[in-house]
Amino acid sequence: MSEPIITVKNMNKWYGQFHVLREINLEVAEQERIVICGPSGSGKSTLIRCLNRLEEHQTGDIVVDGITLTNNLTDIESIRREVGMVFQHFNLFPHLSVLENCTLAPMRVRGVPRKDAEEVAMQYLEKVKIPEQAGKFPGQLSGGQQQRVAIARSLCMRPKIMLFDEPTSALDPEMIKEVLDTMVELAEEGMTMLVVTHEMGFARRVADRVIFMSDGQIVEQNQPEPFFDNPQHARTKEFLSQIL
Amino acid sequence: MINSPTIAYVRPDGDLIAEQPAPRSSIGLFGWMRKNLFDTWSDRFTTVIIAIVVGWLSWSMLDNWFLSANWRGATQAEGQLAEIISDVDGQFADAQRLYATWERQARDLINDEQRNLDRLVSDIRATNWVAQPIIRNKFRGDERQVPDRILEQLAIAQSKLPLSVYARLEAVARQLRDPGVMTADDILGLEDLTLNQNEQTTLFEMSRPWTVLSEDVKAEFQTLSQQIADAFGQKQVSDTGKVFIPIQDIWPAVESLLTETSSEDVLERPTRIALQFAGLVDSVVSTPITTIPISRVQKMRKDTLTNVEIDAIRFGMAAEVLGDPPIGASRAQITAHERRIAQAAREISDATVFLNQDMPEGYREAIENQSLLETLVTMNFWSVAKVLAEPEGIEPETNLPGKKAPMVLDALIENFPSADAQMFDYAGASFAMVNAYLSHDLDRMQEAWSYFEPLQEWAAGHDGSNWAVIAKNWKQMLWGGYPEDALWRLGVVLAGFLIALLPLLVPKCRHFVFFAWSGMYPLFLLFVLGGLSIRIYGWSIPDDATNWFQIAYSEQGRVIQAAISIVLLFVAALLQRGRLGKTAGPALVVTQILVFLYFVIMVWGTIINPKVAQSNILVDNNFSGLLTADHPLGQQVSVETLQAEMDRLLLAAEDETLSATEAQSLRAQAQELRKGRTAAQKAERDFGNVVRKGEGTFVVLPFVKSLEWGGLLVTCVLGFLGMAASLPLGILLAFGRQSTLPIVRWFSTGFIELIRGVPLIALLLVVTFVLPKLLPEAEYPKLGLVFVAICAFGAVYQAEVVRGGLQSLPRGQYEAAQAMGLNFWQMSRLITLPQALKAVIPAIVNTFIGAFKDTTLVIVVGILDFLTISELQITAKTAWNTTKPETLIVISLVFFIMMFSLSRYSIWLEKRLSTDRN
Repeated sequence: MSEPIITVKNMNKWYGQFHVLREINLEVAEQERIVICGPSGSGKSTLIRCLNRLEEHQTGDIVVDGITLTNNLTDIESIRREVGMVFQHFNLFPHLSVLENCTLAPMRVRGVPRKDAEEVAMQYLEKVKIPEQAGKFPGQLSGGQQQRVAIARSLCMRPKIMLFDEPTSALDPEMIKEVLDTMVELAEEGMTMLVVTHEMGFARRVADRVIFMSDGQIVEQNQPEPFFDNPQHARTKEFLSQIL
Repeated sequence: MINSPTIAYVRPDGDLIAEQPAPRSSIGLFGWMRKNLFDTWSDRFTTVIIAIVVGWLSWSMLDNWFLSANWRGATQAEGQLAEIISDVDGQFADAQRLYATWERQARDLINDEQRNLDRLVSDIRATNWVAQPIIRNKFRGDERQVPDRILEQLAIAQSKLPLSVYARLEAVARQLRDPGVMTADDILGLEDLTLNQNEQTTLFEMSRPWTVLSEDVKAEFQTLSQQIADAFGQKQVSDTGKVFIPIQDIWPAVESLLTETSSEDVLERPTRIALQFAGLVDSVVSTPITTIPISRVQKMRKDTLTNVEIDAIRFGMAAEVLGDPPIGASRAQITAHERRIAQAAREISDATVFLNQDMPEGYREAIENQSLLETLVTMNFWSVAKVLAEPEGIEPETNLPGKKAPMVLDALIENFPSADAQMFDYAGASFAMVNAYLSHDLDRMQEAWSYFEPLQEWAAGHDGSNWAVIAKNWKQMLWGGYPEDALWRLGVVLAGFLIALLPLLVPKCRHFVFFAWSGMYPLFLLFVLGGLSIRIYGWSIPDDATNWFQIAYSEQGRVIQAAISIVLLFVAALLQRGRLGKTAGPALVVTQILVFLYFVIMVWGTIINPKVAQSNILVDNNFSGLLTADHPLGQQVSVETLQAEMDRLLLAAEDETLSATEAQSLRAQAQELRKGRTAAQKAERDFGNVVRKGEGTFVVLPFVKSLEWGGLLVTCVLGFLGMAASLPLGILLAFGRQSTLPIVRWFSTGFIELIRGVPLIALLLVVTFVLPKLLPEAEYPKLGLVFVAICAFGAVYQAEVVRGGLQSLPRGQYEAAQAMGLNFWQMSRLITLPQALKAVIPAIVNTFIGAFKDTTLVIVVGILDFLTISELQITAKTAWNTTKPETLIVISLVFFIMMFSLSRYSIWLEKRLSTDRN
């Protein structure tokens, strides 16, 4: 078994006095697809936001791509270069065109020349099936299109890991599919993915492993089939019965 | 199938982890400080630096305002006592720092004086407040008979002392000056001739405490007082040599006194007295004097005004009619102008007396309600009439104003709305007046007035707006007193301004060169408008250099520093390559800015550095225009050449074939040179051989002092440069206020709230009058100080606007930018700022417009901007005092056009930057 690309060991996080993540232990192998689910407030989003240091943890260790997360800015920036993130609300930059959104980080962070960056960006925009929108501004696109641009934008950095923070929650039902299709395609290409989502169909189809969180801790994890067909923990059962 | 690193896992029931308390290190005060103040190295550094700065500032403020403050004492002087003493104390402390370089005698002197002072200070500290005035008297010298020895030794010390210490010692010496010697300074200075308004007299007295003086000096002064008393005729002289002289007697008397005295110091005296009067005018009436009806003045005279004030009013009238001396006038021109004013005031005085004496009753009634100006015209016709009548012997007994042509009348005619002398023949009218007067016939007098009908008719056809004020004064309104021969610079600056605007106005103009020009433009403006000269003071470090300052400012020192800065740049450039590059970007920018500033200071260092500036001012001022390029010595002078030239002139003056005037002129020139030589000597003493007038100076553009800038030029410089500076400063403050580092946040918030909580007028006054006291001693241009205030004021408002913009951004924008690996500066520059600024363009422009118009408040510190110059220099003059509406309309229009354009620009910009659905 190869070295895990993400290792989380005995990690705890508090918001003030509120114990939001409790004794998290997690290892993610390269090319593994993990879906994290759980009731709201269970700490799913906080967990993956800790992985690229959008949130900081208080105790325990997080090692991403061989780098231990501390408050060293240089380390944080080099981890963020390797970890792409897609947000619930897309968070595209409204003052930049779609193409500029995609080329900004490669040019500024990786120092890729503009021509190459644009080439790569077009390639990924084609992959998410919206190359014709490259010259438009985000405000002129639909929600599904925007989220696909956001995915392309992250991919342009050629990350080793992709984090998805409820990517479909803010979308109309008919747009969810186009985004999920893109994610499935990405998964099939072997990207390491951590996805926080309530789309159980997606989890069943794509995930190597499903993690169920409740009260800030990992309550149950398993491969999708046993997880969905034969949940063990009472809370898992309760949760699944509510959403399925 | 990919191997999962972990097996399927189920947390056993009942093994759920319960909530645990947060670790101690992350909560409470300690955790807060660790997280917020000392998290990373940069945090620690910033925290400590700011804490030191703030602590240091607050301590000195606390000390000044509370710990060392005085709350008691009936007068200002009593309150200042402690200051005076600690000041003198400090002078000796400073002097002792150079103790080792002194000769034995000088050390003894300082030791003695230090002991005396210590004793005195401890005396004072030991006594209560009630006793202090007595001790203060003692401190002034009652019991301190300073022996000759000290003066001698002071002289010895002087030759060894650096300039600054010398100046301080001189101040001490004044306190200690031997009461057995009276110098011209003691009795001939302005201080000695105090106007006592309550007594309606002028008081001539000794400025130093009488009791301190030796008997010889007392006698000498009393003799002088007696002479003065005699000159004024039969006046009392007090035991302490005080002479009270009714103010109206002073002009002829002073003049007669002057003709008997040939001392050059005395020659300036009428000018000084005249200035004193002029100062009084302001305190008496703030409305333009010439618009007050004569009846009110008559009434004021009876009821409230003292003779002194009446005289002051007369003086003010004369000054108003004749106007200010031209800006940039030489000292001689100003003196001549002041003499003209004094003379004119005397004429007015005489005319008034005359008018009061024998004005026919009916005529007096006729002019009762005329304005003072109109009365003045009448009176002057009257005077002319009398003068013209006199040769025929018609009124031989009347005391006439004199046979010279009255200057006031000339000036009035000259400045009359229509200067066309053909409009009325005032001589003819005057003759008619004479006849009317001689026959005491009011009807004929009125007929005489009818000679002015053409003027009245002309006036009737032109009683609308009087735009002549603009046509005549537009140059002054545009650039104030900016020298005519340097006006081309305004053109260059304007052209540069238009180019600097290009990247803002033309979307395609995005080439780096244009942005660089816009960034550099303020500096370019300062150099072009203000002038630029580079001084090189000689290569080597002075042999007798005793401090870092002298070394740093030698050429060698500068080259070493320049080398260091080049190495710094090189290192920064190296850092930019390779892996560190991404984070070293800001470091490189900062280094580049520092190095750039460093070079700017190297070039301008001689101006910015207070000590060099002081020395330059000292040298420059004392050459007083004598040593121009036309002078045989040119500008290349040193102590030796000055001394030689001085000796030559003095020798030449001894030549008996010369007339008295010629000899006098030669001596006067020698005297000028002596001042220059003394200044150069003092400067050399302080700076080794580094300061020589003009030596090594390469004048790129001659300096134009900011006092000479005026009008719209000043408004635009303050307004537009203020905008250009306040937005970046405001952005920095806004970032500071949002910083995650509490100490940066507090500092920014404190600065913003402090500046925003003070009225701009108060701020302008503070920077003009208080700030220079806090800065090292030097001559700071008022325009520069005011610019600082305007920038600070604009910046804090912009900071709040920008903060609003930053806060309006969704958090997701920051998170997305961070998640992509952008660092803080990249995120700000590329993501947050563009959006935030775009969102608040209307508010930014609104603040710009407000700030631009607020620049007119500089009127309170007397900077002649567009509005002020017209209010205080154009329409305040008699010649244009009815044209306020016209100038105000034009000024408002110009402001409106500029501000409206700005507003349209902002709307255009908003549209251009819009990326919403279209």
